[in-house]
Amino acid sequence: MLVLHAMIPMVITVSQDQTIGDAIKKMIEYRISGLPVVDADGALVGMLSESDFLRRAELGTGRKHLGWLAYFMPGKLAGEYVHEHGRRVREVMTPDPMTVDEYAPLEDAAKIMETNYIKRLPVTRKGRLIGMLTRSDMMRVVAERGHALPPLKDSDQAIRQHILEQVSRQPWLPGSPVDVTVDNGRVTLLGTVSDIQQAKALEVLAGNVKGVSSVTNGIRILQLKFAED
Amino acid sequence: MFVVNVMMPYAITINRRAPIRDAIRLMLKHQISGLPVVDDEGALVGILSESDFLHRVEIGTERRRSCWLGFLFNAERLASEYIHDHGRTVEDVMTKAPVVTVTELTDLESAAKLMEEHKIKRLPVMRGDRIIGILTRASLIKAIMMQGKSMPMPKKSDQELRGRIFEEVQQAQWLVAPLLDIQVKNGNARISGVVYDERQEEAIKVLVENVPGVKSVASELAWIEPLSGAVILSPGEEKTPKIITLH
Repeated sequence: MLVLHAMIPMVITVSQDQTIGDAIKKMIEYRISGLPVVDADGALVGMLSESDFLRRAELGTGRKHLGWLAYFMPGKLAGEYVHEHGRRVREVMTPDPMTVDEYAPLEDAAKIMETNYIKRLPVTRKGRLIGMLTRSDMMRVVAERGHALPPLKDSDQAIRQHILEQVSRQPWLPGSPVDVTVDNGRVTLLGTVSDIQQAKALEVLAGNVKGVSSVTNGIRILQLKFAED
Repeated sequence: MFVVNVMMPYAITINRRAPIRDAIRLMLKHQISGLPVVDDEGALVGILSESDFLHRVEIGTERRRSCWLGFLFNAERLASEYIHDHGRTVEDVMTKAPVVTVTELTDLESAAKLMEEHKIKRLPVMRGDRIIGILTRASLIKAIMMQGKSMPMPKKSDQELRGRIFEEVQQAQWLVAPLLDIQVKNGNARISGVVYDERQEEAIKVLVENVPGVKSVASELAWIEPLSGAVILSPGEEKTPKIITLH
């Protein structure tokens, strides 16, 4: 699957010279928690998100006035707000954001998000900003796409073959000491493995096959104790 | 100030055996990135977050280690990854207990340290092994910033009233509960936060007034009028509302 299959192909941006007030207003209006920041030519120069505000607020908790947060805490702080609302986006944003191309595999996007601890990736087409991909989008697509491993034919024999084939490909189960029987879509697993996780994984594998209505897990776990364990 | 002053006194949770689709729908509906997982008795058994769905077979991002790596990673670890990336119930995908949590009496500084240490944005608030609320990073920082006001331990009756108010607020579909904060003292409620139009402000006041036990409602809500870009702040102690227009 590619980035373009999961991203939101809409871009709401804010200019780096606009005020924090404008940026917050946009975020609330469009109910988004992150905005790509662009320069006068429309090129991407940064990312602004709730995290940036929270980080600044955390640094400032020694002082009591961070006026531009009055959007979220009106009333008493309104006075201070008037002074601070002129602060520019470029002072608060995270510069040089990571991006991903629309034709990149989702796997790449997942790796970037994981290693950089980010939850939001601007998507580009030939270097131009065309959309946004967030962790939330990845999660949404997981829900939208069911997953089932379809055997070639839906019969019990085909299901059994398919399961055995899948099992033989798994690096977590070297050799295949597993016995599989299928009766009207109901699978029974028998055999012995060395760890409970292998037993559980076998159950997951069998359960995910199209046509399987239930899995009875009769796999036994052999207790082996080694000196280092 | 303590967790009890600032937490959301309710928690959206999911059962460990629920299908992941239900969990995802719940998270998207309430716009939350972390979901505490409970067993049939209601005890906390794990936490499910958005990040748990980065590696999944449905979107082609499952972790595939080649067979020859089988002797570098042990079979147990590989099998666990398989379950995580292919399993269809919440307990297959969640991060299992022990979960980082706080109690109502945890002070805010300790709570902040925990979030920083573990790089998390959400702490379940526990009473025994039951979740009774959630403390988020955003509300924590807001509270620390407002620490100019002293906030004594609330009376039990005020705390219960706050809980009942939040229950009502949560049930009102037209409200986004996380954008509001409600404090109760001696039965007097004070609401602050953001709404999208002035009718919402009126409606919230009416809703809170009607909760049994509430003696009065003061509003410090701000609303943002999208067309003109004006931010209108409630009068608070002043007689007329202050209107600030942004260009």
